[in-house]
Order: sequence, then structure tokens, then C-alpha cells
Amino acid sequence: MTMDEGAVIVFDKNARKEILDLLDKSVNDEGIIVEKEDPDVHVLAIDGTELTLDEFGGVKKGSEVFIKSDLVSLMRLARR
Amino acid sequence: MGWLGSLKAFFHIEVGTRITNVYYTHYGDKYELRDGDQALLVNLNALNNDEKKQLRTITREYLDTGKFLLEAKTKSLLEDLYDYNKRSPNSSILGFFRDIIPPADLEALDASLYLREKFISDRTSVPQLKYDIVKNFGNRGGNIANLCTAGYFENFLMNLYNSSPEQFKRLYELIVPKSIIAVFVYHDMRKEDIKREIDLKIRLCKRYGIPFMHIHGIGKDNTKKIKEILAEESEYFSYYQKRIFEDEGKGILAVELLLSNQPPTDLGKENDDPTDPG
Repeated sequence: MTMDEGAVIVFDKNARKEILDLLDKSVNDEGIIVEKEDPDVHVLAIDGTELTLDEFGGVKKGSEVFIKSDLVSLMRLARR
Repeated sequence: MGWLGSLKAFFHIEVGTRITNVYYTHYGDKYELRDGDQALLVNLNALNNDEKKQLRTITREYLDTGKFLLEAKTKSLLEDLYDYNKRSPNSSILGFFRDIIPPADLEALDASLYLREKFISDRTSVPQLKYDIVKNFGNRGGNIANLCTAGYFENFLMNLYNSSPEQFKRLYELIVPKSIIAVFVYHDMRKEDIKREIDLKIRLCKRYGIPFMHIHGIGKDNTKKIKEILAEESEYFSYYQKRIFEDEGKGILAVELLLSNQPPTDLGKENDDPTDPG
């Protein structure tokens, strides 16, 4: 066990763009989250659908799993 | 050293400081310790490019441990949902409907049962949760949320199925998409709209042999509108036996109309098609 074990990172809703930047993602003109290096590639949420900045609730596992913040998406995530 | 050790080193924070929560924000100083040094606030806007690059590495190290990096409200909701799943307070209701309603309706019901719990314990979160249900399941989902919150799934639909699965199948597709058994009064409904909907649904309930129709209002303005309609149209409503349930403290009003008598006139000012409640 390391001292890191219980600690977590969370972010403010208003810091979402900065978080995406940390994860090498950006937001296109339509508000959809895309790869920073290749804006034609849309980032997908767990359910395989694209997600907007407004819907972005966070990530898991090396930024590969993007999470939507709405109730139904989180219920699905909580049941996985 | 681990990601937290790297983060402390990055901000020159003493190694022994027991930080339990790190908040990435967009305001304040570059970093700040709060809550007896247990919380570290990091202003992402205040970092230069080199610092962001280092923080990116630390953040990836954090994510590689398998933990979530979540927006604060999303984290609270997800934690609450894990707790809710652990308790499974509504598993018998979901189990009952699992094989008799469409899977999407069951998922909407699942979310609505959670919403109903929040309605009792934390009503401030309800509008956003209801919005999420409608966004995912459309008006049908909104109707399921209304019907579920008012208790129709366990108090009416379960009994209906137990008494006649065939009748359940026939009525379910009228009750869920059109909500024919109840009028749910919401804030931007005009009184004329409410009156028209009451009359329409009464006629539909009679047509399909449902012996009641309910009117629900939550909040001071909505309950006031319902009371005013009952007073203004007292002659119309005098033809029905009615029971009124009110919790003034919670701002909840429900009116049950028992449909044994025919009204002399239509309450609705327009001649709507009774098979299309809109």
C-alpha cells in the first residue's frame, strides 16, 4: 500500500477544457470532444457515442474511457 | 514514489503531508492547501506550458492506477449510485417489470426510481435528473418518471398485471406514452391547457374502462392552479366523487376523480380527438 491509495483527483465543471487539454483532447466548433492532434477524430464515450463538452463528466484508465455526466450514463457505469 | 508523491514534489509540498483530495480548478493561486492540508487545489489556468506538461504526466500516472478522474458533481452522483445499487431498495419493483415491459422502459424506470428517492431526500437535484431521463428516453421517459414518482408502477400497474396480463398489455401502451390516467401540472402550463388535458384524460379513462383519473401538482404555483380550477369549474367537478390528498409542507397536491358519472359538458374549450392526448 502506498500513501497514494486513498487520494483522488476531481475537477471543477469550469475546468473541463483544461482537463481535456491535459488529456490531449480538444473541443471542435460544434462543442464535440475530439483528438487534439487529429480534430476529425471524435472521442467516444463508454457507450460508443460521441460526447460534447457539456456532457463530459470525466475519464478512467489512462484517459481511454470517457464518461458522460448524466444520470443514465452513470447508472450504466455503476452497474458494470 | 507514486503520482501523489510526484505531485507533492512538483509543488514543493512536504512529503509527509496527508493529502486525500486533489481539486483541479481554474481559479485562485497556482496551488493551495486547505482543510488542514488534506485538500490540494491546483489552478490549471495558472500553470505555464512546462508545468502543464509535468502535470499531464502525473495525471496519466494517476489514471494508470485505475482511478477515476471525475468532475466533482459527477463523482458525487456516481458514488451515490454505487451506494444505491448496493442497497437495491427498488429491486422488487424492477424485478416485477423486467420481463413485461420493453428494456428501454425498464431502464427509464430504474432511473426514475432513483429520481424518486432523491425527490424525498434531496429535491434540489431532481430537475437535472429528470432532464437526464427525458434526454435519454424522450417524452416517454418523462412520463415514466412522472408515473413512477407518483407511485403508479407499484400501486396501479402491478395490480393491473396481476389481475389481467392482457388488460395490462392493452393499457400499458396508453398509460406510458400518453399518461392517460393522470395530469401532471407543471409550471408553464396555463390553466386552459390543464382544463383541456383533464377533460381529455377523463374521456380516455372512461373509454378504456379505467375508473379514476388523477391530477398531480408539486410546488406552490402548481397546487394553487389546481385548486383554482377545482373552484372555477365546481359544477363540472361536482359530477365526480373526488378525494384530495395534500401535504402543504412538501407542496404536494393530488386529486383523485372517480369516474362513475358523466359530466354534462366538456371542460375542454376545444374539441380534441380523445384518441390523441398529445
